[in-house]
Amino acid sequence: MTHITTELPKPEPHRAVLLWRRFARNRAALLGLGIFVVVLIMAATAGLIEPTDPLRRAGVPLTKPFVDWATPLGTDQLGRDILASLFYGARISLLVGVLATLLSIAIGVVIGAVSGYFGGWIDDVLMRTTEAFQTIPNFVLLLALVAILGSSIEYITVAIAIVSWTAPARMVRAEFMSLRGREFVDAARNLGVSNTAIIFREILPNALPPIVVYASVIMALSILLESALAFLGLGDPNHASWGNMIGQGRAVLRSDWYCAAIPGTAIILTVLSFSLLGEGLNDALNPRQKK
Amino acid sequence: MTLHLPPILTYALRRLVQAVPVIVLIMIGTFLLLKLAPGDTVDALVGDMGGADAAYIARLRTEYGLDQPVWMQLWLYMVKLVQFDFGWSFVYEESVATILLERLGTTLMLMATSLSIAFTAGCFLGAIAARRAYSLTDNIISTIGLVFYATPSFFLSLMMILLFSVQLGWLPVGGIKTVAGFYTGWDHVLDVARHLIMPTAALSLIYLSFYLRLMRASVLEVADLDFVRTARAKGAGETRLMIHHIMRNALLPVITLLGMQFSTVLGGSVVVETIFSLPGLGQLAYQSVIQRDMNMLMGIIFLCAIIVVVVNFLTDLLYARLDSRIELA
Repeated sequence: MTHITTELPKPEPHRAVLLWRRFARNRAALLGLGIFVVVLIMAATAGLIEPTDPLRRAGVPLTKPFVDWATPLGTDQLGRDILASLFYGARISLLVGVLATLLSIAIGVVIGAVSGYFGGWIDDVLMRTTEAFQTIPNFVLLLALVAILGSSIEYITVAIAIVSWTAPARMVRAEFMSLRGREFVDAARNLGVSNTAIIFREILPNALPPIVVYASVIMALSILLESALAFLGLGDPNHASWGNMIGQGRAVLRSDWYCAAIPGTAIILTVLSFSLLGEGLNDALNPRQKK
Repeated sequence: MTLHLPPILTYALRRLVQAVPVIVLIMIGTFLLLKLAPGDTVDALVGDMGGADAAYIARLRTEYGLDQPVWMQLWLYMVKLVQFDFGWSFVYEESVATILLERLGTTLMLMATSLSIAFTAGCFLGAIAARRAYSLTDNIISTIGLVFYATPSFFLSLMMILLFSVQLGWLPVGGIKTVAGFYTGWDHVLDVARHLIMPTAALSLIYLSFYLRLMRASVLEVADLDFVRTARAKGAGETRLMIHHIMRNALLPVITLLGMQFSTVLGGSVVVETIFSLPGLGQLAYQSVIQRDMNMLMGIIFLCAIIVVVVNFLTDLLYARLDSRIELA
């Protein structure tokens, strides 16, 4: 009997597996992912914890944490359940964070791509505009936009995107400027591919990895901006928000500091998780870059 | 040395010319925001007077140029801004420029001290972390940096108030000076300094993390470059190497960040000044939003933009002096 060896070299693992392995090598990134998943679960199960309204009176005002099991993390000065507010606040933070990030990256990609691809006077005009936006203190512009548009959650999200698109625009522009002279772009152009198709189908996929990593930074900053607005009482009054909880907690800081400390810790952990995730994504997507 | 001056001057001039379109765009931007806001100057004026008849309102509109086409209004607005005329504040019953000038000093003092501390300490800690990369020291410094980066400035401020004012009673809760103190001379200076410790510390700690992270990455990158190996091979000691060869080059991107971040820090002062009741531009911005004082808010935006342009200009010049690779001509 003849034995035919049909053994082939092991197939290359799937791209997703490779990315995951590089990501998981970074312990801190795994911790970030863990915290992020917890916040995600909080946002998803908010309705189970408090089916009616997190802003309703749930118990005796200023019950300390771990005293009454109906309100495990205690209540604020209006008797609102801190745990319920915390879960609903996770919803608002993630919602505003994700949407503002997507919107600002979309604006940044379009402006950066057009600027970097075409160059010349278009680039001049768009870059001066970008500089003008960077020159105005972002939080002051955010205040002005909220003062004009009003402070519903939709407008706040849009306003945060309007003050955050400049950095991704500059990054995309730099990538496009270095990629537009490459052979594969020349080849596409010689084949008669349209400018729009070259920008979005040929160059953009190659320019994306640093943008994906930067998205985690914008996400973190958006959450901080939203919480600062809500802290100052300029957020959407119809939704529970971590920033607003801290703002309310300020009034009882002397006696019941947990009212501010609990949501504050939630913001720190959430923002921290995005920073750590960003580092992991960087390891996974830009493996050649040093450490 | 005198030979070096002309190219630096031409470089400076060119940078100034580049700033002009940016400032014009900001003028157009604040004009559009004012147009978007509900109500105009005459509405505010009439509201202030408690109502007026239609003919008088029409005359006021002509007087303020509000019956002109939009582009003409924009032109008039820009001419006024160039003369530092930001309009009238109906909340303060005073010209916006006067109020802004009163408030400017506090904010600039807060910015200057916080940024100097954040920059110096951030670069120092970042360099230490990079030289002992992946050691326990590095891990501790980097973790602290990450945590402060993630902490909202208002939360940090509140926790500092809780610890240093409420629990320990060491520092005042807010304000720029003791209300009934009537201190003079050195006592006044010390009193103001005591009031500025917490706001300065809050801003410094938050922004320190930016410089720390960038400096660490920058030193790691520069330390691997050829010229460092050459200098080491020629027998340069590690301290000399660090100060003369690595730091000098690693500082360049951090200085760029200092210029770019300045507008963010100015924005961050809104929250901190509001919490500590410091009478600066940031607190004024918050109050203007609450009181719907749009002229004031736009005045603040424009003044802040000018400050940022000036600071960017100065950091550019500093960069050009430090980095010989930049062509000045």
